[in-house]
Amino acid sequence: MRRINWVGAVRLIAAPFVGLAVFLGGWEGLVRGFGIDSFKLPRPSTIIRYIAGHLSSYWFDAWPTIKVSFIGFLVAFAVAFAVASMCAQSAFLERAVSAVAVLVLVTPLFAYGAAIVLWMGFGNRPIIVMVAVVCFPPLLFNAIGGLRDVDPLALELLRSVHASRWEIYRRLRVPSSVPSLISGAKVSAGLAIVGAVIGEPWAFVDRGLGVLIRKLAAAGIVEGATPLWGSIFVLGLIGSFAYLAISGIERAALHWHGTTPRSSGR
Amino acid sequence: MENIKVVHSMSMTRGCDKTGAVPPTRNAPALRGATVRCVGVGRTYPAVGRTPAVLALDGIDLELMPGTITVLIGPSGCGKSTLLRIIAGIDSSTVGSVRIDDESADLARRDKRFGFVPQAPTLLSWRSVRDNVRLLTEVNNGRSSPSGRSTDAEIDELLDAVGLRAFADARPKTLSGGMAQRVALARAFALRADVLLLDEPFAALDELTRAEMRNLLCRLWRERSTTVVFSTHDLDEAVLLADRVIVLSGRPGRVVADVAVGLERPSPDGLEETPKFLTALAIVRAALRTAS
Repeated sequence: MRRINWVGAVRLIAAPFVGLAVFLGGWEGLVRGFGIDSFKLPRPSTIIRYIAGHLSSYWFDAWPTIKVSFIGFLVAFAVAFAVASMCAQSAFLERAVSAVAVLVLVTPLFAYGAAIVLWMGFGNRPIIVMVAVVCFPPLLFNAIGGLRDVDPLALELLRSVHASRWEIYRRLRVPSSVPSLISGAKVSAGLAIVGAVIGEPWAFVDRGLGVLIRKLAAAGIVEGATPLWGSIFVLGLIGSFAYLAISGIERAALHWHGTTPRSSGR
Repeated sequence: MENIKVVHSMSMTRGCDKTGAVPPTRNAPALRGATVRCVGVGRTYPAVGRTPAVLALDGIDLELMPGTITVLIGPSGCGKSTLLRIIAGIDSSTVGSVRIDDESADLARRDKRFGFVPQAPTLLSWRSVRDNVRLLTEVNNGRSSPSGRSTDAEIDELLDAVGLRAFADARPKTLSGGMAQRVALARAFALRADVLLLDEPFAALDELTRAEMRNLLCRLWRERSTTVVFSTHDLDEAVLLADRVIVLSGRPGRVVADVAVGLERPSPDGLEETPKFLTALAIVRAALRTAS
């Protein structure tokens, strides 16, 4: 019977919380110890209390950001997977598409955000496009890698029964690519939120954490930095939830895939 | 160097026909499988960058009779795997031809007449053991070999035969190396292929497991007789398994000896101590020395 190492499991779960506690505790101690003006740099305890007191107003702005991030991410995932599926069949196409993806990757979103708004107009659509554009390269590169780098012996085995390209794609390439797709999704989930936050002010939407941050940054001179830090903490929370959700999907998918998630193992 | 290409007939074993091919052993089932004919097969890999063109195989002439086990042996890089891949139609010869009965290798591949066992078990981690055994029968809408497609009941019988029925729903990561290789064997036999090609399939296993796998292969071959072509580095393995041992020279691979063997299979205890075995081994070893 398989024995569960409870001590190891607890340590694994507790580690990120310990890390966060040490980081926030250090911050708290630094602000108190050096007597830093809390108007400029508030203590984490103050920020958390502030968020707790303004939960509904933060949620009011967080929900549109979550929505556009999620939709943009899904669009990027679908497009990247479709393009990668074609690239996996042709080295020429892969090189051609990769060149464009690298161009997108190295150009800051901030630079072409305004251009996308000029093209598509105000509202959520340009934000979704910006999110999709920023998520696209890591998803594409990981999908191409996963679809292309299959076990050559398995490929040979399928060819020994004259499997068509389609058969090889659906029976070998797609299932083999699952771990790579999830790695790409993990990176892109964080980028999706970054894309939405940068895109919202450009698109002149009424609600969203990006809009809120811009407003609070301007108001900070009068109201202090606590509300601004509150929205930063909320963004961090959303990003962490997205990461945890994908990690959960990863566990389930890799269990199905019959491979083991990467672990430090120490 | 001039090829030796002599059929070493051994007085204590069965004789060969005119082509050097050996009829199946007394304890083998009625002939099935297919005749494999290689005529002047050669393979040159073209130059890539600064790497010059490589002549991997040269002038391979072979005729392998239905229902026999032929073992290819030779030094590393002599082209054993290349020859197997050419026979299987997954690589093509630059000169010469391969016929499976009256079909080209490529047509035979379309008809799923080959069962291929690569060097590693190559099981798909996301499929259960049963689904791995079934994999190749499902390809191309379940197009089957002329002998038909294995039914689910037959897949389970095969799992029984390889002693893995209890693991039918398990994932490959839970299997040992020997168990995984047994799944690979079952997967090849599930095709009911006329020709079974095994590319050093037991190379990564320990000696005890290898012996177990050899016996399993012989048992399955007796039950479902096909033409078997098996490549190995292991002299003992070659002699214990083969009706014929084909010795290939170092690159470019040429047939330097064609030794008729045909000991009792599966190997009874103590066979390795018998004069029959030792004589066969000495002949193959001498041929291999010449080849090297």
